[in-house]
Amino acid sequence: MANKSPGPDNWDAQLRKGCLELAILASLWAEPLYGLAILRALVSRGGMEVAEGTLYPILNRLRIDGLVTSEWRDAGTGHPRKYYTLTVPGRAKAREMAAAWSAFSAQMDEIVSAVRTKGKHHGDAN
Amino acid sequence: MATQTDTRAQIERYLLRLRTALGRMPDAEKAEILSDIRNHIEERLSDAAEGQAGIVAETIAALGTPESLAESFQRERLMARASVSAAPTALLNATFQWALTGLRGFLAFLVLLFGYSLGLGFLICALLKPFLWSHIGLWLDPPAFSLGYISPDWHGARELLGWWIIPIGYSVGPLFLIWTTRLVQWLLRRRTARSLVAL
Repeated sequence: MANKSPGPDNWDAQLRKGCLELAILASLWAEPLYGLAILRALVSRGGMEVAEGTLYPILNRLRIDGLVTSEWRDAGTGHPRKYYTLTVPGRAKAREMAAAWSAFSAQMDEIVSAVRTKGKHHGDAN
Repeated sequence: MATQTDTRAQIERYLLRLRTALGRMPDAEKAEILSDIRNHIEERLSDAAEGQAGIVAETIAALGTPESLAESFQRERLMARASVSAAPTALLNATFQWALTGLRGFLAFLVLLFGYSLGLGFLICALLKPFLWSHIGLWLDPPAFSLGYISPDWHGARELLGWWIIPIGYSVGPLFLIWTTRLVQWLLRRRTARSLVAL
């Protein structure tokens, strides 16, 4: 049988992509942020690098879905910044997704604890 | 070294390509997207050290090609609109696009077509029964069922509902349309949210 690699890089990318919406909503939880500030918050708070071309289409969808609102503000930088704010449904959605995430990650922690603690598989080479 | 004019020209070329690639989108939404992207580029430029070589190209490269960026906007927008819209055209359009990407989308598209066809079929039968009473109905021609018009020359099929097709059609038809719409909206929302399901 061919020993096919599980492709960890692709798996990792899929995992990050799947969590991106929650990560963006969570980054707006404490305060309204503009696009670049959201990218920076994701990096500084969780080390999550997000492609710039991925962020704006998702923000646009969240706005259409009514989960965030946006407004242009003069930031004194020579150009205005568009700040995104969570709406009431957006907060509810973020809470719901965060709860789902906590339950899911707890389940996964339990499942992978065997891999973390048991050391080598009995079939592993010495 | 890139001059200010070169920098501007580079940005404008990118935005022009993006505008073209956004295609059939309302002008107001297109303008909003373009201003978001323009602003993002400006923000990156103002952050960079004065005269930093290649910063425009680097910023533009980070956004991806205008065509791929436009595709992302269109895909996300289509899903968002369809998941909140009950318009059959929006749902058909979104599920058709989804069907092009894989088996789940294809199945959702089939569910939508089946549900709408059945719902419309019942409604049309209820509507036409009084005018074509001997040719319209729910027919059993073992082992198959068929709903709708049957030719006057065809005598092998047995009508199952008779005049009951009218009240049943008027009640079951809209139910199929509503249930199908809700089911497909739910599937689209599930697909769009994809928060933990990506695993």
